[in-house]
Amino acid sequence: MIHESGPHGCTVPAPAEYVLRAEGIGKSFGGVEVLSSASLWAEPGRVTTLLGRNGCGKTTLMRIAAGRLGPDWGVVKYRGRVRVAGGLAAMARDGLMFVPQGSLLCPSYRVEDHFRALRHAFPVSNCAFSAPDLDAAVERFRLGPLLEQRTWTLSGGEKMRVSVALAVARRPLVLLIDEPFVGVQPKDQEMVADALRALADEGCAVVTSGHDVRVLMEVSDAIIWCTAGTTHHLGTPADAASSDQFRREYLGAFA
Amino acid sequence: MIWIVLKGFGAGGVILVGGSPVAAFVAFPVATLPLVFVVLVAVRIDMARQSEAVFLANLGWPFRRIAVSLTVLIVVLDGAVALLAS
Ligand SMILES: Nc1ncnc2c1ncn2[C@@H]1O[C@H](COP(=O)(O)OP(=O)(O)OP(=O)(O)O)[C@@H](O)[C@H]1O
Ligand SMILES: [Mg+2]
Repeated sequence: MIHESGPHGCTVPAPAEYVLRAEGIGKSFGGVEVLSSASLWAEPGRVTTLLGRNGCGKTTLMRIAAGRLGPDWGVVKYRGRVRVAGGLAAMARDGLMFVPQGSLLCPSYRVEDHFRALRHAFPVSNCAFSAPDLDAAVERFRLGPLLEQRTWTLSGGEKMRVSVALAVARRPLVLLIDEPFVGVQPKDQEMVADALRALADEGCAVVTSGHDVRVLMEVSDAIIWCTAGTTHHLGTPADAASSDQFRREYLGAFA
Repeated sequence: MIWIVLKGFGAGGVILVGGSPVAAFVAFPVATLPLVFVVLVAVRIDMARQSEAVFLANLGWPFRRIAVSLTVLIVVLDGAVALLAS
């Protein structure tokens, strides 16, 4: 397998190994350039994490990669095909799942309705998960007492717990999950991290983001630093932590 | 935006039935209250729809398909009402 050398001397997998790749992405809002040439990729069996200061464009890049937002330039490829904006539904039918910042849930639905919709959307015949997977996810994430509740009544941490449970139950090929640890209590952060790790170990390509550096560095295989409209592949979390510039400009006291 | 659109439709309707467009556009504060309510409900529904659109897309249902299904449903229901009335 061919490997090219990354900017920090680490190895970057050859493009064939990426199941999802957003490349050379540029995006402006109202004349203000947020991204000029950013890239994001997802590799089967690995957790890739996008880090960077508030407002650097992590969410924007993830939304573009998920087909929720059109880039001004650049290209998104999923499973070897170029995808267009608005293509999340088509990619989802093809195994992708996108959990946006905040949560995935519909405010007026009950928690249980989301699981029922998931079961109907992907009949067992054409999908990796089965009904017992849904029940197991409900149990694993202690959602029993929440099932009857409307989503808008849930706390922030509960919403994220339900969102992760849905992602785990879906067993996607690629999971893009924006800020999965926000508002989640420390003990449950461990549970969410374990779930993401287990998904990756089963072969799912997981992409995350956020500022909960400790847990994100622990769960990740690769770190992408989003800064000044572009992205840098920093390599493993240990490689990232040893990058002077990254420590100085982003990690600060966490280094 | 929703307010302008609703006001526009209201005034348009009044012009069609021969009323004064200015009178239709300028409402008493009390008469505006239902309009405020409609705008607030529309915004609330839109906010809910935003996250609903992402959830449904994750299930493989594009909003386009949902919009088409709703349009077909409304046309069929209207057709049925027209048939019953005739
Ligand atoms: N729809 C939009 N319209 C206008 N500006 C936007 C829009 N979406 C994002 N932005 C701007 O683009 C920049 C990047 O936003 P984005 O949400 O991608 O940041 P982020 O890196 O995810 O930040 P955080 O770490 O706080 O989540 C911000 O300055 C934001 O204000
Ligand atoms: Mg963000």
